[in-house]
Amino acid sequence: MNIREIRNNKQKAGIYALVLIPFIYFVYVMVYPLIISIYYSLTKWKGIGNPKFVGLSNYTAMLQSSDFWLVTKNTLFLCVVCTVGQVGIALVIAFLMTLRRLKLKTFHRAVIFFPVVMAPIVVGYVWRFIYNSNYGLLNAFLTAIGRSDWIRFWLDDQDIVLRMVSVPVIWQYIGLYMIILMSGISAIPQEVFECAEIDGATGFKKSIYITLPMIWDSLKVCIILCAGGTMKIYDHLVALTNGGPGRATESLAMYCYEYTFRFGNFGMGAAIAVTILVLALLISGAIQLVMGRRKD
Amino acid sequence: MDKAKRYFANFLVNVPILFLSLTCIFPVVWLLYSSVKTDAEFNISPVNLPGKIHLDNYVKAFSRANFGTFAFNSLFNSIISLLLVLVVSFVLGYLLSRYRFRGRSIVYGVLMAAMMVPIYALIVPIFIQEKKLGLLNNYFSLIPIYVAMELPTSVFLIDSYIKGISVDLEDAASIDGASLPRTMFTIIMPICRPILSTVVILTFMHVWNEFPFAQVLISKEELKTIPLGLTYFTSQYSTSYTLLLAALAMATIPVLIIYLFFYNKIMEGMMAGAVKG
Amino acid sequence: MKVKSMKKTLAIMLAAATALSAAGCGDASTPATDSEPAQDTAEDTTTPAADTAETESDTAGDSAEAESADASGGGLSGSFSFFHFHEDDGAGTSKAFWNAANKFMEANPDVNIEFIFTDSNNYQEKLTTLMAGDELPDVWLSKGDMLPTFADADAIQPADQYISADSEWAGAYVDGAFADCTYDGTQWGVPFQMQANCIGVYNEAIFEECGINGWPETWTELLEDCEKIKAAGYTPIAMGNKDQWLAESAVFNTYAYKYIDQAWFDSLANNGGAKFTDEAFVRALTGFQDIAKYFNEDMNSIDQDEMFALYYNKQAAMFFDGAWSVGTMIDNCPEDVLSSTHVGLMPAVEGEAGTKYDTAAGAGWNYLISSGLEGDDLTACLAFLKAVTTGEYADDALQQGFISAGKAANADTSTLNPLFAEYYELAATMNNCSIFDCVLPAEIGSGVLYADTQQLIAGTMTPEDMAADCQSTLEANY
Repeated sequence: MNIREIRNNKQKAGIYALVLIPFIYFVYVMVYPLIISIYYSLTKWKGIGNPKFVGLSNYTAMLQSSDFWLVTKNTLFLCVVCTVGQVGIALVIAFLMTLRRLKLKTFHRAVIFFPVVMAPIVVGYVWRFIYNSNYGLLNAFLTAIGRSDWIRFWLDDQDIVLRMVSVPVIWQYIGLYMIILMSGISAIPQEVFECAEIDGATGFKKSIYITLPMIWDSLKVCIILCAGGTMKIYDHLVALTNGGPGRATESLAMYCYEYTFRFGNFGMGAAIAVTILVLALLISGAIQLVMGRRKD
Repeated sequence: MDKAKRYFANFLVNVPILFLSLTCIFPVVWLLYSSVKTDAEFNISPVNLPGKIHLDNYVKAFSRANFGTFAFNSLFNSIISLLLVLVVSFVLGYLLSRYRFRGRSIVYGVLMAAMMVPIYALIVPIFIQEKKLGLLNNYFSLIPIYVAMELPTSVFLIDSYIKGISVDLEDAASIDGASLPRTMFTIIMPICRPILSTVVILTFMHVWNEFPFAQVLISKEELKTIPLGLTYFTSQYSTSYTLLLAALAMATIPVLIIYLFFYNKIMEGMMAGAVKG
Repeated sequence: MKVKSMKKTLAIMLAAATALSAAGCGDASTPATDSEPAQDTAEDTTTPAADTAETESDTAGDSAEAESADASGGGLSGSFSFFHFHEDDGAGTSKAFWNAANKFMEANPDVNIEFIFTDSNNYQEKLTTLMAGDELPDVWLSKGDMLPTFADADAIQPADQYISADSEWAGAYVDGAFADCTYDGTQWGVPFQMQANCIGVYNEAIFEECGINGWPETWTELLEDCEKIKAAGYTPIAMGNKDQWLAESAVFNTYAYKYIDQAWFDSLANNGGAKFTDEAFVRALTGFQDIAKYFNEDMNSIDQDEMFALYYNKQAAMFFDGAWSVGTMIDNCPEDVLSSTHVGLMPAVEGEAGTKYDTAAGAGWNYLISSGLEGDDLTACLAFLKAVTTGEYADDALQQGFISAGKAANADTSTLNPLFAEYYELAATMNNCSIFDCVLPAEIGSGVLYADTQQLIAGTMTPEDMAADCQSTLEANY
């Protein structure tokens, strides 16, 4: 591993200073508010006047609510599906980008990133008329290939809607992870490939046995970013289905927003936020554990 | 037979990606042609092409969303945040990847967990915090938050990239007596250009588009940013979609420029690096 | 003093806006000096110096402005902040607001109003944050469901004490305008609009094509008509419930009043014995689930605008929506469809107590006044609120395509758009009942009721389950 020794105590102090100053700042801006949220989550507070301490009753109410379990399940489902989908597809494309077979590389690289910069409202709009039952492109396509029996009310059917909304999310961010993985690939020294080619490694094999281990860290960071991004998914769901039908596509972030801002129930909103934090810690621990160990 | 096989392989590699690329262009094309429709045309069908091109949608959208002022503010926030994020995340990313010290995994874990918490869970406490610090409605209301928000992503990206770079260069430099900061900025930073370009693209894009914090922390017209201007097309019972789309198209341009410019930097890095084919 | 320069800038911007609207064109380069000659001197001293030497030019400007104010009949002074969602160039309610507000500011140049705008979609989020941060402005807008929170915390002062003290003002509102801002027997707010939350809009040409003679009077007739329309290949009733409020707030709410009445609802809202699980309410839910088979099948995935599109494209024969849709039709509907478009009241259900006149309607949002506002600032604020809710505002509102909470005493109804005139006549016959989501706590009103109605019409929830779900949430919130 590419690690350097800390030479002396002076350098150690310097490193600690350079790490701690930004870190303490980060904790003050992003983590301290969450700690305040922990306090709010133990109170009944309408957002005005003094919060009333109620102990754990927000948490018990939350855990007893079937809606909470539903939105948690939705969020975790999206988190897994989107991470696998986004990073998986991006990885395949990043590999393909190294192949001579692939034509129009420059074009693809430029264009696949376009959706990343599109506002979620535009993505929502575009995909809603892809799925639309009246003039939808998906149904038109299915009719054209003679499978009109597959036609559904894509965003109305409670059983499939969650899978349907995950497609646009996956599609939108492929470009982002493709860029990250490609910049990881760019760091691989040329000689490694040359040696491999002399040894007769080509295309597929080269990707699996040489490129993949070399970009393992980039892959890990993609998974972290992706899991982090989908844990707080909000805008896409609002634009696509607004959480419906019922709460079939509602996420924890939407649930938290709903309680805090629409219902003015700050205690409950904070309890949900704290729950998200706990889930986030668990997930980030799991990623560290799985991805970190393999490398070492 | 062999030739047929090769054709098939070419087909398998090219067609799905081409298909994906085309779907990725589609929203841009749709945005552009929809933004020159009339509201009536858009309302009847959001898919059809416009009958006549109404470029004055752009003129109207520009003045209604206060684009001049708001674009300046967005640019100001984006550039300052970007510079700060670049420096801070580079230093942090470098130290985290190169040195093992007590508390390193705590820093790591906290950054990662904070990244997964939805913005909406933070808004009210941060609002109260800024109020106490007297930072509300100020040119510097948003920058401190944006810097913190963008930090984890950038740190992870830089950290993972530096892990792949051999320590030989740095060791050689320190034998020559170069100090730590000098090693960091003159030796490693140039090598990191591809990932720093990625950080530039991501940070600029996120800050440029950030809505929830700008929405609650800024009330003064002269401090508002572009994403807030995009809400100026919605009134109590109706939205003027074509103007909104024209404004969205204008709002997307700077991000695309930044992307195309810095993406070239990434590609230069790639050319210098590995991919021969 | 800190906010002076800000207010100055705003004042100048507004002066420019006034000048622009007076000129009736949108050239942003037109200088403020285009406004009335009487104000020219005052504006000349303030405009160029505003940013650098606010304080001195302020005093100088004030005296000059005071003179011109006297000439135009004003004389109020004071300042207050005003948090609103009236977009400058938006729909009818915004236009009427700005017409009145600009006029007021022209007449009262010494009143400094700090306008804070947030669009209506994000308004509540910002309001809640301001409230939690103890940064509430002097005047803001609120729906009835948040009223108890503000009132119980003494954050607002009742508006009725001031309104009743001014007999001209007190007499300027239509009956029932204050229903949505009444809490604990006090009328806290100042209403500005009076909208029916449900009205039937139909295409007469399609009706005739299907052999239907005019708008149905009873629910049975409506069902028969729907059957005929469906047989002819049209969608009988368009529904765009993606955003969840439309089916509940704009359709079901009024439908429920065919079964239950205002007294039942008051009892429900105040824990007076009525329950969602009462038989009449469950019957209403069942009936509503039945009508859903005449909606377009993608009812829960298209939004209000796409619902309108079904109607514009002659795919749907009718829809039910709030009265704001009348204005939208006038603005966006293709000419041939608009000319055969008419409006009607939701028919009564035979055997049930409600009539076709029972409609969920009301002011919805109200202006609330912070309890901290007093003295000259309060006086100025009250005069402003009077100006932007009554009198000429009310007359103007009709021309802009909506009904205000103020009496339109001098309006020229002959110039109204025919479709709006039709609605205006119908509105006069309505028996206004409370809007559920404006009165009930948000967790029920815009939480459970919205989500469950979506499942009810999709057929994935039974009326009994929905009633039980609503009732248990309500009980947790009393």
